[in-house]
Amino acid sequence: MDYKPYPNLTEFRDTIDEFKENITSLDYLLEWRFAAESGWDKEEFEELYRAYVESTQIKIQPSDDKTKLKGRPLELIGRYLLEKGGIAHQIVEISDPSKWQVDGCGPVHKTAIRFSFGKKICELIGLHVYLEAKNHSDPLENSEFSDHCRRMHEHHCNFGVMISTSGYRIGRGKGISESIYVHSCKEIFHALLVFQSITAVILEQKAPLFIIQEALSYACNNMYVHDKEVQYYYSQEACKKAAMLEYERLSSL
Amino acid sequence: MPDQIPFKEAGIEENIGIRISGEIDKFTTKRPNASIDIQKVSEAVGSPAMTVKRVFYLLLGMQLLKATFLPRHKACDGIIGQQETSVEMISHKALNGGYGSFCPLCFEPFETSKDIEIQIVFWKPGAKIGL
Repeated sequence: MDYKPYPNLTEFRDTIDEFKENITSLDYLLEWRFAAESGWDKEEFEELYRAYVESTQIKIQPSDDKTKLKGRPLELIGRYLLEKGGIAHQIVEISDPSKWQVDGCGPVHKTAIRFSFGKKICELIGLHVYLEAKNHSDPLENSEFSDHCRRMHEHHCNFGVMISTSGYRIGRGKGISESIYVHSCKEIFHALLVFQSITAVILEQKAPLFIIQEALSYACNNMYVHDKEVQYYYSQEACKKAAMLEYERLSSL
Repeated sequence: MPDQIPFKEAGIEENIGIRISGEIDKFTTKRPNASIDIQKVSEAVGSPAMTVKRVFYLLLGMQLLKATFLPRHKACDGIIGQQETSVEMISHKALNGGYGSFCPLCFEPFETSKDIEIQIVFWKPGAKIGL
């Protein structure tokens, strides 16, 4: 390799590969490498995070602008997670006014996805990702998931990310669990995220790429149907509790 | 900078690592919205640029720094385009002829996107970059 006096990408990648071998105390170093290359800024994320956590505790009055107070903070952090986390780039909201609207859409970061999920999944996932976000005190409904799936299908999108602050109705014979698994068998991938998924970036230093990978593995292994711990993690009760605790933690800082 | 940076595991002498990260702290406190020059840090601590670069790479991997990216022609090291906020933006431009078909500085043709090297520019997280 030619030596360059200035810091460069080739050297950075080689050095991170070497660190990965030798540093046992840092997890997700390679996944964070993709975030760094996508322009991740810890402070920008923390700012969005604080606004999002605060928004989860707002009690909406009939006269309030629900989208501005609750919807927007989650959309912004969701887009940041995907775009700066190295999962996709140039995430934008798309819509056909008064007919449909997608909270975020952008081309998939193929190199990062190939590295993290493998060549096969990367090919199946296709070109773009759809983001849907719901910052509500109720869990995400089956009908909302169906709308999201239909839109993905109509637009030839095989990779969807949903974020619901208050979880999902999941479990054997309930809600969307079976559909998620069936879809994954048909090579349509849904990464379901909840409040704690975002918190994990702050509290556990989990890289966004890893969080998505974890959610996809729940779907592909049918864990929403079979795994009680996963079901609880995604339940309204667990999500609400986590949001309240995090709000209190941030308020005490 | 936090206390638990694994300099030793990264093959960097602990006291040198601490001095370098301390110098970065000093620099960013003085000028929070300026990019951090490796050469200046290297001169201030008296460590070779290669060692200083390793510390910068480690801090970037730990999200204690953030980066922007500058395209350079590998052969002549000349800067051939604007600074970007992600590597992907440079790769995309390179693949789509965004940097032209030859280097404006040495006039050698660009044959593949691999003719372009990407320089990393380091910043303190939260720095206002204006890109």
